[in-house]
Amino acid sequence: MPEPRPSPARSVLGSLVLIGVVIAGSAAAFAYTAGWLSPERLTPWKMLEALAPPSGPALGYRRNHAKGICVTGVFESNGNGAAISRASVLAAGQYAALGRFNLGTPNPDAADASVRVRGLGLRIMPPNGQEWRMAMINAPVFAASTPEGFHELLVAAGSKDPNAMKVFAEAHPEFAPFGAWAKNAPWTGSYAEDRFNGLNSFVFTDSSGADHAVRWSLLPQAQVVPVTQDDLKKLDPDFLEQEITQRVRSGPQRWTMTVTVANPGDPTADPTKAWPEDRRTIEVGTLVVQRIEAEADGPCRDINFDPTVLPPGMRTSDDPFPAARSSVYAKSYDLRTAEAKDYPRTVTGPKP
Amino acid sequence: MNAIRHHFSPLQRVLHWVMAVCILTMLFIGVGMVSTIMPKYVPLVSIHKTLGSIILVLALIRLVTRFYYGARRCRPTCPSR
Repeated sequence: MPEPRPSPARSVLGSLVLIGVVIAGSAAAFAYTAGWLSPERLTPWKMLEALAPPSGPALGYRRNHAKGICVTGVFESNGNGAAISRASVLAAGQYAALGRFNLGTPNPDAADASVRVRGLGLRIMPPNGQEWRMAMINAPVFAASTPEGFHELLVAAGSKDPNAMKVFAEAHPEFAPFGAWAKNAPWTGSYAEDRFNGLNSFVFTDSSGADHAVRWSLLPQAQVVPVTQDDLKKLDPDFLEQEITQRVRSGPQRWTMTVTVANPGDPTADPTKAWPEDRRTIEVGTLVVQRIEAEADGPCRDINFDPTVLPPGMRTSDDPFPAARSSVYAKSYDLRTAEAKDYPRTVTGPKP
Repeated sequence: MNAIRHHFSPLQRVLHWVMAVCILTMLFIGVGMVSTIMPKYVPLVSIHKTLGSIILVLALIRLVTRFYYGARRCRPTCPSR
């Protein structure tokens, strides 16, 4: 039988097959990139699902740390931080600051005495636009070593299985320091008396180009009066917001910002591990809170306190949390700003 | 502009293909970055912003070249519009 010559029809077929292969290959690569072929991939959406209470998220609010109040004031930088970072925000001077005191709960109506974790989102804005955003909590260490571990914790905490938390804690011994803090540490009756810790490590670069791994904290200058959770349960469900509003009205409240520098070999990637007490700690300035405003119409409402928004002279480290938080906060921000009608502003919208 | 041109200018062709690569890259970076919480999220967002701005600039240059060079003249074999 003679070799048949390729007919025009067959070469058309060949071309179509080639086109099909290119399209299918591109589609498969796209699906792979999007995670559609890897259902086990931890996405921002899955993190938000795990954060949501059984009744679903509170529409229009942050998906976590949903209850909060806006603060404005200044950050008085004393210039000491310039030794470890060339960021302009650490050069001596006064810079506008905008923040948000908040409670670590997805429920914006939670009673203040029921929430162990309190937070402060903060944005320091030097006039050159090289701003520094951060979101800190009152715990001395974080509850999970990795974002995956944090997701497991959220799933366990939201589980109907009464043993779920016990099983989690046994599988994750790194949870123990946070668990001990949550159980045993004294409470305070005021945001002004709380210490707020950055927990995640970052890298500061000084003017010579040298890098320093750091963590930072805000230490209250107000007298700390330890109280028990039972004392707080007798107070109004919104006592924290009422108290800080009154306290700031009677005078500005201050926190000292300290930056702790890691020694070589200190764990920078794991926020469950505190660094030893003797590490070099620099007082870099003072946060002065001058004004408190309700969130609904306040300036912090539409701010995403994304911890990866850093000025030149600061950057993320090998700690995986700031990137994970950034991705999840962005999703939360997209959702809540699209749901603004569910959380009306009192000035321009109907009364809630 | 006087002679009848059957091709786009080399500049227009380069712009076309550079933008094709940029836009396809943007699709992949975009769909990848919104589905991950990994550390690569931060550089991906950063590249996405930068590349998006570059594409805007290229589109403006492309408009200028289109007004300057015009479109190619269709050959007789070219499918009618």
